[in-house]
Amino acid sequence: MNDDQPGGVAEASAVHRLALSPTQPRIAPGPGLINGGGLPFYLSRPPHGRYGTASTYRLPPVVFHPLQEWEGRIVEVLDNEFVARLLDITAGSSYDHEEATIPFDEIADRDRDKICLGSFFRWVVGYQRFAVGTKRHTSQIVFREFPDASEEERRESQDKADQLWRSLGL
Amino acid sequence: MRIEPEVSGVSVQLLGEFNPALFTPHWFAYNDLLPRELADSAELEASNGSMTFTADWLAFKVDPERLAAATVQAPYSRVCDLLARAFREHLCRHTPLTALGINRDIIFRVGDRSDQDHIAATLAPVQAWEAAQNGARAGVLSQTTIQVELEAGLSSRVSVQVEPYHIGPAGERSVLVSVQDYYDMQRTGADSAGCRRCIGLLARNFDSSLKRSDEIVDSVMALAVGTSDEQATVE
Repeated sequence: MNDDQPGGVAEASAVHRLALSPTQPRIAPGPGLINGGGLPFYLSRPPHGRYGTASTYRLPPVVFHPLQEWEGRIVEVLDNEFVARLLDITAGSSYDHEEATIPFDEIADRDRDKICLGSFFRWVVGYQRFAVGTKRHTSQIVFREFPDASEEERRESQDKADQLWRSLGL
Repeated sequence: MRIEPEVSGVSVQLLGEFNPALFTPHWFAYNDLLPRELADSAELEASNGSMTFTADWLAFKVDPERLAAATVQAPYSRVCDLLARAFREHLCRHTPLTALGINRDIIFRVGDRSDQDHIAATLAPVQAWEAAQNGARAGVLSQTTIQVELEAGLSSRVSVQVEPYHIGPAGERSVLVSVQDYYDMQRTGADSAGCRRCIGLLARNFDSSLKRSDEIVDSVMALAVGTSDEQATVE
């Protein structure tokens, strides 16, 4: 997300209005509210085995904040590179109209065996911020690992596909 | 975002019934959910019935009632994929899940106290809290819950929490904004079907949830940026 995208002052006033509206129904936090307030456990490194208080707060050793993110789908594998269709996650696109050719060298060694037709990955461009105070602009490709579909889900998908096929008169 | 975050992270939390002793880094590695070398390098801590470990990009915490996986390193989809696979492929039949939370947490620096005060005054006007202040200067502390139907037929809401934080050199001020999309699964039954539905919700809504959360955080940032702009205009 950048300054050109939605989420600016207009949204701020919307949040403000919601916060102060007298007609907004009261909602009891109750046992369902997962965040009880305070620093989330993972943002506070434990200097002495304790988590989550401002007094023990230290920056995580590395933070990688995304500036631009795509979901890629491999459509062609060549000798030393692959071609992928890209869906712009940052812009909220619903169609993968971009295409990129990515050298194998961009992929971590342990992920090389995941380079195959139809594989999905996330490509993130952003900056790494280190606790020591340095910052680095970088990009990273991480392959998606979706859960295997169950037999029941495969059957449901097959049924839906058959229905669609029939509805098209094919 | 209009202000570069100091810290930027995502966590997914599940409420239900869990066996903390099960969720060791090597259980994840044994089930091919995490690389072996990542599990070997994990820092593990177990205390008072809870288990916490950090391993490379992942921070994980589980106690008998709740489980959370988190990261401060993009791509955040790794958290979603890890939990989806863990519960769909290995635990679904055994784990009653009662709620799902998709959380976005961002800490960003603001110029000085006036920026913090401007955010506070907008989200929680001090006039409403004069009696509680007892003459003292009030700090920023605001919690706003927005009731929206995130999923038809489910009790769900977006919760936004804004708090002050002090990080970095003395005198520098920061603000923590936590946005949570919350889904209550109680009414749909906490059985294996409920578990499947809960993980399905996570997979379907993860990206859109983070996008909405980022827009909300950006809106809060706009309040601080607005202060600086106003000051510059006056000067």
